[in-house]
Amino acid sequence: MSIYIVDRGNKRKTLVREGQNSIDRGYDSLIAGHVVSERSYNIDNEMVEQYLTAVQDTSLQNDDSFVPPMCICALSLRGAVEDLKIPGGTLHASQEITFIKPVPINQSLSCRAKISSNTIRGDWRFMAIVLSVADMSGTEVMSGKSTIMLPK
Amino acid sequence: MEELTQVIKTVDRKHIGLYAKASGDFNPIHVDENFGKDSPFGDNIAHGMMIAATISEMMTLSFGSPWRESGTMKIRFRLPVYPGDIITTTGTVDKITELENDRKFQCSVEIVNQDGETVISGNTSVTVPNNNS
Repeated sequence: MSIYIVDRGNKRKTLVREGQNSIDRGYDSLIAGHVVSERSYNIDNEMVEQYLTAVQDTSLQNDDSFVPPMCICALSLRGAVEDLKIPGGTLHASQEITFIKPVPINQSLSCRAKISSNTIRGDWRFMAIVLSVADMSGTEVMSGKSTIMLPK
Repeated sequence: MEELTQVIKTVDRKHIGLYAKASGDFNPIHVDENFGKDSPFGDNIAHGMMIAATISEMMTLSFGSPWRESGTMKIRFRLPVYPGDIITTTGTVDKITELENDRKFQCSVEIVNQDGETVISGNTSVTVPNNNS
């Protein structure tokens, strides 16, 4: 069972999940254009090191002034994953990414995720989420589209 | 056609856990052993974007800084990657387009596991200035 809470005072919607694999999470209400996450991050050296260690990437060892591009993508997905409160067992089906501008370490970024499509096929809900990351000047530095499969 | 610099990695639980922390994605399919055992996969699986990061590494090794300035990637996650899997990431330049001051490289990319099964496939592109060293 799931409960969809709308906190009108804070103009925020929160999906509350009880148990796994529940069909009704209020996801039906998410239509194309719905912004599901807006977050700001400052990617510092520690975050970059943590990311590079996790992915075992040695290609950037001698270039420590810019954020690894896929680290930006991972961060942009983070907001969508957390704010949608996706259920355990959700799978990543496909990913599109465009890197537009290099991002120096310690720069603040704003990440926005919005629904592109939301359909049910068989036992899965397919949700396409458009990602956009901009720097402090508002210039887009990365865009992308994630398609995820949520178990019903 | 030109082959890109190959990347080979062993995926393990330790690095899956580190990726969960780095990305904030603690989906139990990745990090909860009991959940993984009870899932249709029978085990935990690695984050797709953790595996896809090897494509970015390959593109950086092959093309340098233009990748982070102009790279595009379009991929499909075809099979899960399990702890203990050895993945090999390869790519081929399919097409080079001469532009006024740059060259655009369009590539096919693929990640296979130790059994030769394709786990991720797709395409990338990168625009490299003609004076890029």
